[in-house]
Amino acid sequence: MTRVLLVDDHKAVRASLRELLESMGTVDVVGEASSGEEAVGKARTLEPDIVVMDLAMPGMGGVEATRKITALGLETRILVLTVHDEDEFLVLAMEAGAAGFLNKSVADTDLEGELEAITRGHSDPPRRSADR
Amino acid sequence: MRDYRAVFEASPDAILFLDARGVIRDVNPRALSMFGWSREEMEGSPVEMLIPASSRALHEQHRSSYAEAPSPRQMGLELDVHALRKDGTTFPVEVSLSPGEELGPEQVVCTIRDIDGWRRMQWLSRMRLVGAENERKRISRELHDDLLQFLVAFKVRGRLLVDRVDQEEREQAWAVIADEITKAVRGVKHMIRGLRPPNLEEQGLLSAFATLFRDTRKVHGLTIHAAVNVDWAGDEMDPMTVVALYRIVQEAVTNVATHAGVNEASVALRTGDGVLVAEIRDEGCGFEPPGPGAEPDRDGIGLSSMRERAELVGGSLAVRSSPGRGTTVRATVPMVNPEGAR
Repeated sequence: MTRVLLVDDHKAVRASLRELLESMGTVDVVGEASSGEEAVGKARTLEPDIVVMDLAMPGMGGVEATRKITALGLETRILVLTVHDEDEFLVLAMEAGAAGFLNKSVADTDLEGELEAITRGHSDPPRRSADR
Repeated sequence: MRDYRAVFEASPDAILFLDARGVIRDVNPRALSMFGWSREEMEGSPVEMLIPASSRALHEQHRSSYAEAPSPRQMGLELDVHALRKDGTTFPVEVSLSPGEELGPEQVVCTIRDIDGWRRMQWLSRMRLVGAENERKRISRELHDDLLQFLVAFKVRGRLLVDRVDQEEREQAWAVIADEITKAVRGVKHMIRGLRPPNLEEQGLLSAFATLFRDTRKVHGLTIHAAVNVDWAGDEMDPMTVVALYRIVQEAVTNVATHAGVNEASVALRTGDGVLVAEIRDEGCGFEPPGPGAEPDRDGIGLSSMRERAELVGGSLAVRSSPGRGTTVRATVPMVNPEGAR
């Protein structure tokens, strides 16, 4: 099972993503966070395999949280899941150490494949799904 | 010549005749009213008496360049040129210099126009553009933070619904979606209400706040405890200031409702020392106030637009917050529009 920490400031998004992740049968959602600060704290204690990371959050955003989690030196990989499909965010996320970048609007169809790719380590350089 | 004299006397601009050394030789009535000096005090004095210390260097530079090649020239509109009144106050001016050979060798005609009103208009129109731009950002952020997120969640849930085989599970999954659609609709309605300008002039600020707090409870389930300690008749305040304060409180309350993770907050309004202070406080999750280096356009909660609104009406905004320790936003605005407020 892939242990996932789910980070998003929107409650409805977190709830739906949790159900989606759990329906895959290969993922164990070990924790949730609604801010960058909380994500860094939980990554440190839970040491998940993958953090599914939103970008735009009040306070510490996803880019900064990705940078901080990467700096912890864990095995944890980060998949950025955002509605922002502008290149500047992709570049920022990559520079911060993200292993993947996926648009939220295709999460229902592409999230599973993306997680598998990251788990297999086929995600360097980060993959980017087309927006639909 | 008498006709020219009449133009000189009636000019809405100050006109000064200067000699080659920059000594004032003649002034028109407008020059006296503009600077507050008497004719006796001005004539025979160096023109530097009208130039604030901060502009002296610029003045010297212009005078020597004029002396090298005397020809008509203007300065002021694109440069920040100020003049000094007798009472020590300064004001922005546009200055034109032209050779006045008719009056004698090396004489200069100096025309000074008070452009304070013009500058203020220019500043206001710029602020209006900035305001419109910020408003767009706010709308874009609200669409992003709420409606767009719900749509994403619906897509995920719709997909999961299709995969459900069991009828009862399908019903349950649909109930969740229906509930979230209701929330999303409520959010959009709230946004529409927020876009509609409040009828502050008729309703009054305090009553508008009461409506706002009631809506906030209905839409977000956030109860606002209001403490009002004001000593003022609302109609004395500049309508723009009233609108600015309303918008700041509205934004701050919406932030608490959507980000703080609490179901109650307090708003205190008080007056004193010529200012009206609104303090919005919650015991919620708080945040690290954004420093320089914040992600592009992501202070996320419109702090800069709140601050701009306050400053636009001559007030100020202070924010105190840290993760886990709640947030306090304090807006201070003048009760009476201060002289020269921008």
